Amino acid sequence: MASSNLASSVQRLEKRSAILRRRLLKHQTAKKFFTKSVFIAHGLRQKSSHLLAGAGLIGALITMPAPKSLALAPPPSQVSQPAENALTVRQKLRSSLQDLLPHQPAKLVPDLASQVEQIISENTHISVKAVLEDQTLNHHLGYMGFEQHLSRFPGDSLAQHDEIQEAGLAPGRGAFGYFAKDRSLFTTKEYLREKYYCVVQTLYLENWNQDHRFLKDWYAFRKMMVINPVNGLAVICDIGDAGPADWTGKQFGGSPEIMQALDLNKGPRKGLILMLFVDDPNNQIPLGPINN
Amino acid sequence: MAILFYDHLITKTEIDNFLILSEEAENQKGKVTQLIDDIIFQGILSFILEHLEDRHHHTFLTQVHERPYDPEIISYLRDHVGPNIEDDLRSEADKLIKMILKDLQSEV
Repeated sequence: MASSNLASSVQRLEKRSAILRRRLLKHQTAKKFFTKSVFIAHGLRQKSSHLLAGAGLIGALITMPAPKSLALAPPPSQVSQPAENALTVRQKLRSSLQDLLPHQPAKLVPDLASQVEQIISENTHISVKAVLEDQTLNHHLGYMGFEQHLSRFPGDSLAQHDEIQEAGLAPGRGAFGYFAKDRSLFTTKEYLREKYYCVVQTLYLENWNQDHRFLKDWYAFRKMMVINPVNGLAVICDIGDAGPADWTGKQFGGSPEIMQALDLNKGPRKGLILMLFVDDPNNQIPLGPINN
Repeated sequence: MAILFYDHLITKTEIDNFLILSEEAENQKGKVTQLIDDIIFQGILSFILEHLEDRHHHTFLTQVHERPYDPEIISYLRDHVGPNIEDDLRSEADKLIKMILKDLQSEV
């Protein structure tokens, strides 16, 4: 009878649970996560309930077995807070751009591009362009995905990268080759270039097939500004690789450090961003986050 | 209960029926239900981590931690484990359910 066995069943189930827990904790990464008290089914269900109820989606999700995609913004408590002295730039970028930019992949029309360029230049004192030296990307707004580290020189390894090693190291080189031809030529400049590299779809440029030699040189390590319009965070980066493929639904990629600086390194690890050329003929603008 | 990303793959009707028929106090049933939920959770996660490359573990666990309901997690697993991951998880869940039922039905 079910009723007579339930109390003793608890003991057997507790043993079963302990066995499975040990199996789970054999994985190093799991150990880290399982120190968090909420990381049990009950805790996660509560969290799920809170998040979904907050977004008004719980009913919809329960009746939908497995929809293809759903992305919710993190709750306010999970959004990192900016430092006091950076608040103004972030706020201004965020509030000014949010009213202008479509929230979907797009190429900016000239009038809108001018407005956006002006807002950014006024607030960051960095000149940015949607079109520079007659070159422009197919998208200025697009989804940026989390990339792996790139090999900086022949023989580079993941262990030699100092941050976010869990991102892994991409097999092979970036589309523009190693950042330094060999280790002896690897300077701080190349170190920063890899740290803040981005990926753009040069391969889909209209004139890529005809002019790829010129275009490859022009785009290689070209300085760009990337802005997350949701939170106003911005980073100066350089083009270190070509991609992503169209089928991914993404238009850009960002190094682990860029994604962290834009607060796009959590959850699905992608987000809509604005990407513009930095007009910096004298190479005076340093790579890295500009307002956080 | 709020959903977890794999809930649609789990069929535990037999367990539910077993507990409904039980004459134990509701708090005892609640304790058993929670234990079963944890067992399935740990079993499913173990299965996934065993089939997912180590370098993807952090991303996967971060997704589960931050958005436990998110169907994108299944999409992520389709991309990084294989297109049949849902069938595999269903099959793993069935094994877990059978083990749990055995534990519930065993004589003292």
